[in-house]
Amino acid sequence: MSDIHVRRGETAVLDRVEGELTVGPNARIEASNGKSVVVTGGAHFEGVHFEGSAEVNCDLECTSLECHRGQLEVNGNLTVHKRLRVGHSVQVKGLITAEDIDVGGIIKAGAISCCRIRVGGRADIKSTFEASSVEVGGKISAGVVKLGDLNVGGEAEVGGGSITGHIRVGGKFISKASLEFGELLVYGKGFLPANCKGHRLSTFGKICVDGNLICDYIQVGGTVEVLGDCHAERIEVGGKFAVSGSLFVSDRLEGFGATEIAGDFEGANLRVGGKFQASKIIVKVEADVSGKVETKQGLKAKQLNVRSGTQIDGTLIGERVEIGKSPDLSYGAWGSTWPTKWAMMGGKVQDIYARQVLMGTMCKAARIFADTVNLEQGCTVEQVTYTKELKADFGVAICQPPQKVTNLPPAPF
Amino acid sequence: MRDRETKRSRTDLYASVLEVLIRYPEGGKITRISYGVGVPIDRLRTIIENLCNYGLARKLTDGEQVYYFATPRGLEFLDTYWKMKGFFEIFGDKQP
Repeated sequence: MSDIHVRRGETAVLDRVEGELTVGPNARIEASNGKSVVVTGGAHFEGVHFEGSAEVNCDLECTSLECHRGQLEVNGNLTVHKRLRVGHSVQVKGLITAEDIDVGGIIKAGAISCCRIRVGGRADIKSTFEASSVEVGGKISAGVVKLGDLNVGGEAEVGGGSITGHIRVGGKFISKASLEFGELLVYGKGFLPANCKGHRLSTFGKICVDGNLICDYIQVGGTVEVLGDCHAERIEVGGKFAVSGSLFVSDRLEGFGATEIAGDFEGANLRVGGKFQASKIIVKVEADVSGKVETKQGLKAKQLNVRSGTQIDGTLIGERVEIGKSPDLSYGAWGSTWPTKWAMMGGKVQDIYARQVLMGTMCKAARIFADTVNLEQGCTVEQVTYTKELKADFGVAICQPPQKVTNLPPAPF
Repeated sequence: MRDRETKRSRTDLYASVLEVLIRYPEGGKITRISYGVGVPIDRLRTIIENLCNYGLARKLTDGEQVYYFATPRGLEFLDTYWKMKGFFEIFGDKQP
């Protein structure tokens, strides 16, 4: 069969077309073998050209396909070896296989496997969706995905799988099953199920994770809620970060917003400038805190720096503990000016267990158990127990007489 | 029937048009953009003219064909639009 032209409104029964197939508006294509129509050709082959709305009641295979106007409906599988280009909308009941898909309006399919897909409006894929680059202006809904990059203007809803590249969603992002992701940026709202794993997660809006999360780098500009444990390498909190389980950070957490952890926090480094809540905080190297820190059991760090004006609930444990010696992080550049320094002097902490304790001007502590203790002007301490040295400046108030002992009581944890 | 919960505001429409435009770096034709945004062409012409007047989109005439592009200012607008939407999401406010 050479080039074929199916006229407007006609029904053509075809088998194999050696050349170009042109289909008029409102025409219908059917397979003579009841299964599929294959359009194949030589060097000058252009593929299938639909002039308007058309219906294909079988599988269709061709090198390239174009449909400028109207809706193309394929009640089977559609295989396009090169480019599938549809101006308005295309609906395929089965699987679409193509190298490059470009749809102006809406694409609906049972499944899609392609290299690159660009949709101006909306994409609805019932089951699997495989592509290396996905660009959708409006909304996308798909089953299990295996994607490279995903860029969606409006909303994206996937049924789990993996998206290894960059994911940028303007509005809402929902994954209904466990997802492995590369870099996920959600401006609006996001929902992830339990046991998701990713490289980077950032949001300006709100992301809820319904269970445990493993992510290398978490950047919270808006709100992130994890209803389970969270494991990360690095976390930056500018907004609100809430974890209902425990939080484990292998490198560093920087929190200048609010961080609420129902369980324990364990990390290598901690730098907090806002509000930080946890049942127990264990920092392997250095903790630099200012603002308000609330713990039930306490904070343990090798080096602990509690900045001026900071309030900490719970016991402090460390090798070297410094209270109120450096300016509050939340004052930023204003921290170096004298009026601000005056306004934020001091710090209020509870019991301290350490080798070395340094307390700046006007700080308050409950009990101190340390080898060496240095208290600057105006400090108030209820009780000091030490083994080596106690230095107290003018105006220091120690409620009970200081005790020099040979052995200090053990720290609570 | 549309499954849109609320009517899109003018700002939402501007953002939708720009979201479609950025997917056509080679330039988008008005018909294609209308399919993408889901707005009739006559309405879209007014929206896109406004976007061009505000410097958020650019029009290029090549013979009889007219192509539209998003400008860097348009990309800046989109970024700000989504960030603000994110903040409204946190505050629980409806977008003004």
